Amino acid sequence: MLQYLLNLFGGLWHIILTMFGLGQAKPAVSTQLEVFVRTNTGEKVSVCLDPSWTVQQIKTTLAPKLKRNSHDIRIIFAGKELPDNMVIQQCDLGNHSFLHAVIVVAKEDGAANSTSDSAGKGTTISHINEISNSTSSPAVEKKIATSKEIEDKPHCSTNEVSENCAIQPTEVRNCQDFPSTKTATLLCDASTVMAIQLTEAELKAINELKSVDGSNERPYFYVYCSKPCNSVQVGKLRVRCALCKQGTLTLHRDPCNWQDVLKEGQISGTCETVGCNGNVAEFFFKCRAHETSGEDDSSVALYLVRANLPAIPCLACTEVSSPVVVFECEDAHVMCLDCFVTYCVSRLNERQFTRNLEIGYTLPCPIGCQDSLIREVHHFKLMGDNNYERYQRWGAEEAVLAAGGVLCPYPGCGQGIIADEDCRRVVCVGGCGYVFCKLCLQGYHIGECEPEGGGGPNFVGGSGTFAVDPTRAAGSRWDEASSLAIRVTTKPCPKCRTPTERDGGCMHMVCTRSSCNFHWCWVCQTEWTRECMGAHWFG
Amino acid sequence: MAAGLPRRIIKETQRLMAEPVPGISAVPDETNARYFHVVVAGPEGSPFEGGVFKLELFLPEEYPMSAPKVRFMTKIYHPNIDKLGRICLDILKDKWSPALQIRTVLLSIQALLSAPNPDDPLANDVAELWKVNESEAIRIAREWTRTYAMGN
Repeated sequence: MLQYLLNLFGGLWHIILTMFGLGQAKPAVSTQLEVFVRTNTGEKVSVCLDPSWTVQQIKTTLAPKLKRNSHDIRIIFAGKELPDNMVIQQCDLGNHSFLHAVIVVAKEDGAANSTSDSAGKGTTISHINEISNSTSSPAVEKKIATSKEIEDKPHCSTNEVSENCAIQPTEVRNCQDFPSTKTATLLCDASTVMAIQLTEAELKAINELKSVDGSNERPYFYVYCSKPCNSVQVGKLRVRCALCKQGTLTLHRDPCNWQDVLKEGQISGTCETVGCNGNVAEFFFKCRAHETSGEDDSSVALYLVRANLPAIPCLACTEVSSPVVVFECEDAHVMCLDCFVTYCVSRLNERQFTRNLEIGYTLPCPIGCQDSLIREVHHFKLMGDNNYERYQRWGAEEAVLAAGGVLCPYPGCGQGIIADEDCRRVVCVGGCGYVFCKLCLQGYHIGECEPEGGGGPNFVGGSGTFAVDPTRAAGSRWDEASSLAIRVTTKPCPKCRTPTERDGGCMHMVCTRSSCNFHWCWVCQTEWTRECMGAHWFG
Repeated sequence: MAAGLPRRIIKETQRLMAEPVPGISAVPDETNARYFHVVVAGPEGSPFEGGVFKLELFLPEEYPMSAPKVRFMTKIYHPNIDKLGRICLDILKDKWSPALQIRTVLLSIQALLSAPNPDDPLANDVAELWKVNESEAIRIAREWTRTYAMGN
């Protein structure tokens, strides 16, 4: 009975497929996709399609909805026009994707309602600018995988081989109807990822590796997905017009490296949106792990995070894992994600991040190689929310101090203030309102600063009546106690005043604040000298 | 006990046992796998030749993000090693990198015995003598080696 039903269903399916002109009935891969099509004139329609359809079939479906002839419709995806015989599966189109359709008004007669033989006059272009989640079935995934391996076109320029693009042609080519005239190299496929991320030497190494153990690792882009995933995820590269921010742009050439993708204005294109003269491509990344939440749902590319195709062990734990962090130093040192997090957190705890004018608060390769500072600070998001918050706060503090500012000393405030150079009286504007002395960081006073240990923070000029919140008061007592403990157990760095605790060892202190790094003597509370070394090195 | 011990430490320990560095032995403590009993032979041609120097090496929780803590247990007359056995060696301080290992640290200490550096001293009086009267300093170092490093 069940068998009969299945057969019946299979038969029906076959008929449906034939109705849609799909001669070679494939095993039922029935993942219906619903996608939204938006035209450049503001129309929005939804289309249901099947991953096994060709681009031609989408056009046929779209034609009546847009009141255009299917021959006048061009479909563009990720900066490329898709040829009619390309199968949807090859584009890894997901559910609820947004497609952009652009209607170009005919140049010669201005007639929008062109007929089937007037191709080239009035043209409707459908842009698929965004592919959402890959909800495709395993079968479809497999299909996509094969189609990716099949790609044998050079991926640097659309139509011809570019020499500076390191792509090795793959031998297999069983994609029966892959276009020969127009190359549709999609930004989402593995080949592009390889073209952008890997050097020729790396590619060679990978090809050799694959021949040995049939490695199943594939190159991917990685992004930090802030929400909803809050973790490192495989990313997708997308492109839009830098001017109108629509995906209605066809690229003049493919990106070959990270520079092309990350730097603005590297690659030009033609924007098809009516009234937009945009000619610059803007690349962005999306998270592959979650269903897209809208057109502005984008993620930051963690370009140091890569699939560990050459199987290089982590420099710290010596394990081989993937993905890994590859530093930008000459030796391209590799660290696994876990060790990278430990490295960052331990440097953060010791407050040893470096401040770089161009980049901000960052770290070099753990070996300390030259020119290896991490340029994209979103990599530090890997440390987790709490640590990242600490990282941001300290980074801001360092920036304020480097600019000659002060941090409000009121417990729990810490607002950065750039004060007048010749004025000792500082008001915490935009923060807690505390008024303090810039020199001793105590409440503002007239006359000389009192020695350390004199009175805690107190408001000056708060003459009116005020109510005391008991929890605040308790908190304040706690703050008082801890500031007392800090005063008793620490000595300030003679240069930057950072309270420093000596938990053992000799009297030679090195300021823990990496931007200060002052060498001082615990006994003299001045710069460390040979005299200190001779007289009271060990107390 | 070994639970929670990072694989890297296990691997390093195994390699130290299987292929020991010539002139150096490092054996983990029976009760603490992060604590090593180290014995370094005084390098040939140095005033420490013939001596057997005991050291302790401890891998802190943050290892390999922070350097191992190493200290001489045997008294030694050396400008870069103080009376408490603490060693002045850049790779144990600011030049530490997680790519370095127990093995490289011990090799560096062995090299430090062969080539004392009185310009970057930890034991001030020793360094002073080493600069002013090297032959006298070497004589004392030999004597200390005989007295403290050859006993048992």
